[in-house]
Amino acid sequence: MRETTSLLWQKISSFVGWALLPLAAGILIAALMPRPVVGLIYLNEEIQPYSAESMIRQIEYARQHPEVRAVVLVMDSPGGTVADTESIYLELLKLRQTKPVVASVNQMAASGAYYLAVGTDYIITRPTSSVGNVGVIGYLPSAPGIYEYMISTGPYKLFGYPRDHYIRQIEMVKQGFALAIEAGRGDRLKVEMETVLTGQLWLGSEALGMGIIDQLGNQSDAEEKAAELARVRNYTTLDLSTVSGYQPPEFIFYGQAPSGETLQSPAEPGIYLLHIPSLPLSGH
Amino acid sequence: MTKTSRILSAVALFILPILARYLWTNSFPFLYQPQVTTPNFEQASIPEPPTASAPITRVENGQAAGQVVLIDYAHSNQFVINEIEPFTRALTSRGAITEMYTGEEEIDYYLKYVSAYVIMSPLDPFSPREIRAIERFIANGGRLLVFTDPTRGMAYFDYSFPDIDSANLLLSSTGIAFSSDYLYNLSDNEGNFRNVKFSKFGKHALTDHLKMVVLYGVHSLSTSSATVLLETSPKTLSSLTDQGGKMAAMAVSADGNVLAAGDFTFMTTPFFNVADNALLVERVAEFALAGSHQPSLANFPYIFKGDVTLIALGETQLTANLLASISGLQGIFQQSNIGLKIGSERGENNLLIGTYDDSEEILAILKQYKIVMGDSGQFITLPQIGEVGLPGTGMLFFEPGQNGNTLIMLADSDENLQILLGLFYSPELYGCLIQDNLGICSLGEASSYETDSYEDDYYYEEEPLEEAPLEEPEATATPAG
Repeated sequence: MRETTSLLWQKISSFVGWALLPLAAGILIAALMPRPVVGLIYLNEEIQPYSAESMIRQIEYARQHPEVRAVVLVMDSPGGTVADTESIYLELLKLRQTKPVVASVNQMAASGAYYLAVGTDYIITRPTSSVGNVGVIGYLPSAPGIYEYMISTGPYKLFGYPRDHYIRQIEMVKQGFALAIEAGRGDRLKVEMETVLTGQLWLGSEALGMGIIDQLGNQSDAEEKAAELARVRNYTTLDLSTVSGYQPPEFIFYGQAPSGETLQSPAEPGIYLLHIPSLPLSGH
Repeated sequence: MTKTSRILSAVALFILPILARYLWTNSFPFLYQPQVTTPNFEQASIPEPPTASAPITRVENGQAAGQVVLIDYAHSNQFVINEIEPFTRALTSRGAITEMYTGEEEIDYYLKYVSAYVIMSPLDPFSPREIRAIERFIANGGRLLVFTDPTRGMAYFDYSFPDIDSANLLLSSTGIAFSSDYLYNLSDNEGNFRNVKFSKFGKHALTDHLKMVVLYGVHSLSTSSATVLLETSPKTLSSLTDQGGKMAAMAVSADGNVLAAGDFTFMTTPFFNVADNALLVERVAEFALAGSHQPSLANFPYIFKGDVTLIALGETQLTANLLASISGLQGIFQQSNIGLKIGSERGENNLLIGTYDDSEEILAILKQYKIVMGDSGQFITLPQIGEVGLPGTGMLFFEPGQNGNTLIMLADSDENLQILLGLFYSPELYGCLIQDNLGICSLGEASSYETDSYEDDYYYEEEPLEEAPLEEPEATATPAG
C-alpha cells in the first residue's frame, strides 16, 4: 500500500514536472504577452510646428513599441503649414514600413490634413465629412526695394523671393502634393488629377465615388480596419499622446484683428496647405 | 512514456498557451505586408515662364510728341500709377505726356485736349454726364482704354465689389461687357491656374507679331460687334460656370476707338516680361496714341498743337487795350506750354484777329466761308443759317491742318475783339453758336458808334431818363427861426 502511494506520488510529481510546470510556464508567459494595441493619434487642430512635433513624437512611439501594431490617425483639421505637413507625412511613410496606418476623418481633412490622409493605407470618413481642398496658398512677398535705413546684401535678402518665382514655387509645392496623392491613392483614384487639383472640398459620400477616400464609417471602423491590416484581433486602443511624453505648448495660428476678432488667415506669412473658410453672415 | 515523449509533451504544453494567446490576438497570414509607395518629389519642378518670341525694340522716336494720355484716378481706381510703369514708359518713350484725372474739374475739360483716356479698375460709377462726354470724345476719334482686373475690386467678408460694374456702365454703347468671373486653366498655364496663356489672336494692329501673351487673373468679356483680340483655348474655363468655350479677354470696339481688356497685371512689373507681353504693352501704347482725334471748335480752347502766330488782319490796329488782351492770352497759352508771338506770316498754328472791314484779307476770308456782308453793314448772310445781325456779333472760323490749326476771330470793333479774345479765359465758348468749324458769338453789346442806327431786336437803345425839374423846398419854421 505504501509502495503504491509512493509510486502514485512519484507519478504525480513526475507529471507536474514534465507536464504542468511547462504548461504553467506557458500560461504565465502567454499571460504576460501584451495584447496588441491600435495606437490613436489625434489631429484636432491646424498643422503647425507644435502639433506636428506632437504627432511625430507619437509616430516615433508607435514605431519603437512592438505592442503598437497599427495606428489610426483621427483627424479634424483644415491643414496648415507646408513644411510641418511634409514632416509628418514622411514620418508616416516610415511608420508604414512596419505598421499599417488608417486615417479616420471626423469633420474635416482639408488640404494639408488630406495630404496626411493620403500618406496612410486607408481613408475612412463619415458620409458628411469634408475632404479634399487639395492645393497651396501663399501671400505674395513685397515688391523688392531698397531702404535708406536698412542695408541688405542682395535684392531678395529682405524679401526672400522674386514675386513671380514665388508663384512658381507654390506651383511646385502643388506638384509635390499631386505626387503624394498619386503615390498614396494609386489606382484607387477614379477621377483625373486635374479634378482633384481644383481645390474643391467634397463630402465623404461624394469622395468615396471618386476614389478620394476608401470607405464611409466611423473611428471604430477605422480601428477595425487598422487591426485587420495589421493582422491582429482582440486588440486594445491607446491614445498615443498620453504616452509619447510631449505636451505641445499653446500656439496662436490665426491672425487677430485690432478689434480682437480672430481672423481666418494665418498670423504668419508663408506657404500653407490650408483651407480658409468663408465667414458666416453673422460675422459681418 | 519514454523520456523523449515526455520532453516533447512538456515543450508542447509550454507552447500551447502561448500559441493560443498568439492565435487569439493574431490572424492568418499573421504578417503585415506593407505596400508603401514613396512619391518621387524630385519630379516636381519649378515651371519656367515662356520667353518672348522676339526681342522688343524700344521706340524712342517722339512720334507722339505733345500728345496727352489721361489716366483716370477719379473713380476709386484700384491701382497706383507706378504699377503700370511699363505702360507709361511706352507712352513717354513716344513723346506722349501722361496726366492723371483726379476729378477736380469736369472730364469734358480734359477730353478736349487729350488723345486717349485710360481707365483702370474703376469702382465708382461714371455719371451720365461723364459717359456722354466720353462718348462724344470717342465719336470724335479719341481713344478710350478700359482695363479691369479680377484681382482688384474690393471684398468685404462675403461681399465683393468687382471693378466691372462701373466699366460696363461706361462701355454699354460699345457693345462690350466684362463678366464678373476670372478665367483659369488647370492644365496649361503660366505657373498658376489663374495665369492664362493666349495664343489665338484676332487680326488687328494690336496683335501683330504676337505669338503668346499671358494674362495674370483676367475677366472674360462678351461682345457681339467688337473685334476679339485675345481668345481662350478650349481648356480655359470661366470661374462662373467652370465651362470653357470661345471666350474673349481683350477686344476693340467696332469703331476701333475703344480697347477693353479684362486684366492689366500683364502691364506691371515683372509680369510684362513674360512671353510677348512686353510687345503687347508697346502695342497698347501705340493704340492709345493712334487715335484720329480731330481738332474742332468743340475742343476750344485746346485747339492748337504748338506755338501760335498771332496776325492782325486788315486794318486792325494793335491798340493798347488789344495788346493787353493779347498779353493775357499769352499767359493762358503758356499754361499749356504753347508760345504766342505776333507776326505777319502764317506759321503752323495761327490766330488771326480782325474787325469787319473792306480789306482784302477780310473779304477773302468771308468769301472763303461764303459769307455775304449786307449792303448796310448791319447784317451778314451765313450759309445754312441766314441773316445775322453784325453789331455785337463775333465770328470764329476754325481751319484744322496736318501740322497745325488756324483760328480766325472777327468782331465788329476792337472792344468786341477784346471780348472775343477773352473767350480763351473760359473752358467753353459761352454765348457762341457752333456749327461745324464756324462759331457765331454774341458779344453782348453793339459797338457804340453803330448804336444810333441799330435796329436789331436783340439790342435796343434805352430811353434816356428825363430829368424832373427840382422843386423848390418849402421853408419850415424852426425853433430858432
